[in-house]
Amino acid sequence: MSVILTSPTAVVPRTIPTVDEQVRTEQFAYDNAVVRQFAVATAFWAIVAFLVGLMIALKLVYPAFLSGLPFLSYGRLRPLHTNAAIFAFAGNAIFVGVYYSLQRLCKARMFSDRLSAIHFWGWQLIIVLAAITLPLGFTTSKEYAELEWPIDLLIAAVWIVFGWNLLGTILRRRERHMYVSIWFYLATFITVAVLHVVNSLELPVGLLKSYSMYAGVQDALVQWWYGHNAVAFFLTTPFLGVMYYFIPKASNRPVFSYRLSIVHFWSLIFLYIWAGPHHLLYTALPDWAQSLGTVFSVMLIAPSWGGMVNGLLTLRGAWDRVRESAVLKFMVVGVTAYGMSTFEGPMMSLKNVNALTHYTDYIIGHVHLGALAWNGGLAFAMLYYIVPRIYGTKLYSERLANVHFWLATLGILFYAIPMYVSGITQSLMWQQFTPDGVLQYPNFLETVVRLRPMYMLRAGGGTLFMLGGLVAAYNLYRTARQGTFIAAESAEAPPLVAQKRAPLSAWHRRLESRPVQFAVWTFASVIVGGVIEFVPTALVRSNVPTIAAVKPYTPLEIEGRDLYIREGCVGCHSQMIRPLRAETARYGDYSKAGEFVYDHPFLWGSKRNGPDLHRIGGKYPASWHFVHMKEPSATSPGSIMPGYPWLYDSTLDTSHIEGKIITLRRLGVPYPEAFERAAEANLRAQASSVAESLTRGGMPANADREIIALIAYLERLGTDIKAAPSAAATAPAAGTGGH
Amino acid sequence: MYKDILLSITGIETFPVVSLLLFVTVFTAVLISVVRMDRSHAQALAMLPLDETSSVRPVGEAPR
Repeated sequence: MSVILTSPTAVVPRTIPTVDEQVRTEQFAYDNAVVRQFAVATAFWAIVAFLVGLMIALKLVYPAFLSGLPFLSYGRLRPLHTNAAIFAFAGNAIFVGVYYSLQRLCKARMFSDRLSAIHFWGWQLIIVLAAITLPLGFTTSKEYAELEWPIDLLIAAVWIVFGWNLLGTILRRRERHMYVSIWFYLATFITVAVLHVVNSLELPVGLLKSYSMYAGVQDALVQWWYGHNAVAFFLTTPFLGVMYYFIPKASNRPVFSYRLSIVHFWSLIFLYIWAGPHHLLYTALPDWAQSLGTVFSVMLIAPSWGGMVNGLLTLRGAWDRVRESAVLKFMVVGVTAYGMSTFEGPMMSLKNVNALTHYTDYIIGHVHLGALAWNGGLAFAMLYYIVPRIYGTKLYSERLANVHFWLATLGILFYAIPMYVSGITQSLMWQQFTPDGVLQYPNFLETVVRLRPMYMLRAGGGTLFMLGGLVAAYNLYRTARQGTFIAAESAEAPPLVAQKRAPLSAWHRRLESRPVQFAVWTFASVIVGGVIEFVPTALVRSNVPTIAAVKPYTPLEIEGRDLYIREGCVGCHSQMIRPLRAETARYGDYSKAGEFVYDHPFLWGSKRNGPDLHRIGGKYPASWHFVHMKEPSATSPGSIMPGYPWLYDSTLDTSHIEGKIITLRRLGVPYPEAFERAAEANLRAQASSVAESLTRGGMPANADREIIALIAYLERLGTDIKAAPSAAATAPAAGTGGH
Repeated sequence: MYKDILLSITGIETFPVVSLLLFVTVFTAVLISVVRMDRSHAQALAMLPLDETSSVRPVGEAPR
């Protein structure tokens, strides 16, 4: 028996001589069980991610909402929200798409059911560990890479299992040519592996504490090379693979231009990897690296829009179906949002636009347009397509799916538009000078209270989107209930060895039928950009001019800094003053690369819900911080910052200070030999002096409380550079006061 | 620490140049190959997702 390959439109003759008519086909079964597992996980974690997002959105409107509990504070929940949205919701959705489409495109069952199971349960374990450790304050503070080193190792192991299963399936395929979706999946696997390993290089201090291998500028460069490419290779390429498979399936017509998809693929993976520095414009990053980031970001419009056009034009002549099918509606809105986001991105990479939008809510609008419409849209479209099929039934209610579509679309609009308005409002207020040449809104709070209505609207938009998600979960559950699950879907195809090889004239055609070579080329492509950007910055000393006055942190300041990291202060406060008049007028001297050479990890931040803190040291007395941190509205009426009362009750854990000094010295921080043995005494002495100054100011404080360490760190921030170089040269390498 | 490892690689300063040349070469090669690609072959590849090998079809969908 032979397989008859017919096309639905019957306009395209199949010209690849693939099937030897004499050979019998092989019977096998697609594994739908793992697809169902990932689908259930996608729906579940979607609701969790949306719920945590809504909680932190409400906290920005009502700071008292769920306040007073350390594990529910904004700073700790924000990374939980981003990780849940990216790795739990979008991550599981990716695996739904890959496991469903890969088997069918390869005409083969997944390589190993055991690997599929390890992958599924391993991934869920990682998510659960994240959901436990992040609220407890165990974080590296590097955005979207917050998980501590043991979980990083687990991620690497599970990712390898996924890749092994992916490559094994591809190698055992019954279809010689790898369809474009598979290339995107391969690129995803390879690049995420590289990104994760390089960005997570850290030296452990304890089981759940580590310091980044890199410091300051280099840490920032690696982090945003990672952060940007996590968006590229976790939130873009796998979803493009999904788009290239599911739009043709749902509309029953081939992709608009296969040739365009080849250019799309190679140019996208080549260009994306270079664009990371656009997250660091106007910062202390060397200028040439910033410019490189801008140029490649602008070039990225071409492949991104090529992909969008390719997806949308696939529906040419089938737009009537979009009106009826919720699957296609979500796809169209998703792909359109992809086009909008990938236009915004390059525009914001232009320095003048970036000066306006960076650190503002505009970015929050931008990422949610991508996450909710593009990733969310494609994920839900995929679920609506797959679930009825693996249950051998129809969608329970097309009407409910349409209700979901409108709730989601309105939710996205009510989310993104207020954020755009809010972002531009705050930016313009930050930069507004009076005719006399002074800041019109010198008090940062004035710019915060103005945004409250926008934050309320945003919470409303998020609620709509979450309601849509609940409707979807119900609809999919009812769909499953009315059908019968087909765990093993039988299929048949001739084995690859029996198929004649196509005449391999063009090299790309050859490449498409050789997955290992293909993977190697993809690997080479993504390494290129990283190497060009990173090697010179890492090696050329002149890129980071050293400043003699900049000294390592004292033991107490290290502990304070680690508390700053634990509480997620970096989620709302930057430590990077850009060389712009509005910023130097507000915060003080702009930040220099040399000031961060001992910062493992860097804490530049990416968002200003509150003011920049790089020059906060010396701005207020310790007593101000003491009052402010307990109840921010006491010193700053109208502040949306939550209080941190637990820092006043908890005793500072100093048991790791010796290990911290040793670890940091190993990373290149010049603490004198044997300093670790004096560290504890040094810490106590400085803590007593801070407590005494508080007591003198009428605020009796215990020297052993966490708040003392945090105040010591805040008081130190950005002050080194003010010290006269000659005086600093004679100061001890790790002075007792540090300032 | 990691700088020492990087610096110990002989000729690392040429890596960026090699990378740039590789990028330009591959990009040009892809463009040329795509422009010269056989149209019918491309169309056949585009049909790959629509090959049905499974016996299962959703309710209400006609067999192709």
